[in-house]
Amino acid sequence: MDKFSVLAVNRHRMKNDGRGITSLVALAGCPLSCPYCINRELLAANRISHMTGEELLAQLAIDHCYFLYTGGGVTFGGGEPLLQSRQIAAFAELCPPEWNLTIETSLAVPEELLAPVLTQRFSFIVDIKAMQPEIYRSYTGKENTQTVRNVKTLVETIAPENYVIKTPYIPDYTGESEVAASVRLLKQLGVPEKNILTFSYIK
Amino acid sequence: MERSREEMARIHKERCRELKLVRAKMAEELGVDLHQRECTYDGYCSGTCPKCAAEERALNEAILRRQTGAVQSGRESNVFKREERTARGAARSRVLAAGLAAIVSLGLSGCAGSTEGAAQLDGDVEQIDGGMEYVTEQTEWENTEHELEGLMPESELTEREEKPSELEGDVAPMEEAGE
Repeated sequence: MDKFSVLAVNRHRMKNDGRGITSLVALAGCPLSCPYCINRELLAANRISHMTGEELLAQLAIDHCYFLYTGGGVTFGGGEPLLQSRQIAAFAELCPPEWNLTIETSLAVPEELLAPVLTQRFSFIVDIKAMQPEIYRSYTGKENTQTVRNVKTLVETIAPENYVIKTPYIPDYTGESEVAASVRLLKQLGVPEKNILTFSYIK
Repeated sequence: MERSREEMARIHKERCRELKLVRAKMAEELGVDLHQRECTYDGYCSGTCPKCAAEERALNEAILRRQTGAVQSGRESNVFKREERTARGAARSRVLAAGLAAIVSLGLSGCAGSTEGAAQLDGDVEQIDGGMEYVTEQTEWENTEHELEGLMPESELTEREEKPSELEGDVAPMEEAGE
């Protein structure tokens, strides 16, 4: 099995990644080029550690007590964690079943990279950027056709309590009407309204 | 959003207090005495230290002892009396033994939060409430900028290792990282 390419591990996170106390594993690599990427410096620094699932488990296991007590667990982010979805899926088989595993993703990956983690073992926090192709292309430098397909697949496969789709206000790119349009398009794909979260990027 | 070193230290200290409270609650449920004392360390705090890590080890070991017993007797594996249990956790108790074996074989009690390998980031202190945090109304979020807060360049990480926080109470010194 391929090793993880890890940028950093952030312990003792509270409230940011869902339930309980969590540890964030920031994974290297991203297919998008977003101007306001909060982890741009982390990605650019390129200080990557390669580790096996067992090695990562050993590093995360120090917080086993918090995960159990608070219902927390491990969040995979980045970068785009689905670029290492096979490793994540293998990690899920290694770690204690009580650990909640969450994936923070843009879903901007080929469907074969989404498939390994499309199980009820994972929760998903999706940052969709924008549903409109022209806005998405302008902001990320990529087309969103496959991303939209992945959203539909996610909605059809994963229980509603296990995902949220975040639709951001992006300065200079999306305002009220654009975000409202994204919300409408998400609903048309079958995303329940309570699973759609709007929020704001900081420029 | 850039934060000063003083503000980061304040945030980390507050986070430490919150985590200490959580550990105290866990210890009470598990019947473990952590010998907790007021922290008198006056230097820059990253939110954790050898004393904190020793408490975490003690709790993890106590949990593993209890979980092993629970699995053997067929009881639910999460040893804490929490009202909310994820359906996933309860349903997967039958594979707990495999997860426990993984942790035990990796030497959980020896995990010392090594700074080798991936960098350790220090996250924000946020409210601990354990509940589902998603909200449906418009929420002003920082764009997960806090993920980078407290990121210590490697040179600063090295500096921290050379100046460990003062140990308190009946706690054995931490093992050296990598040993």
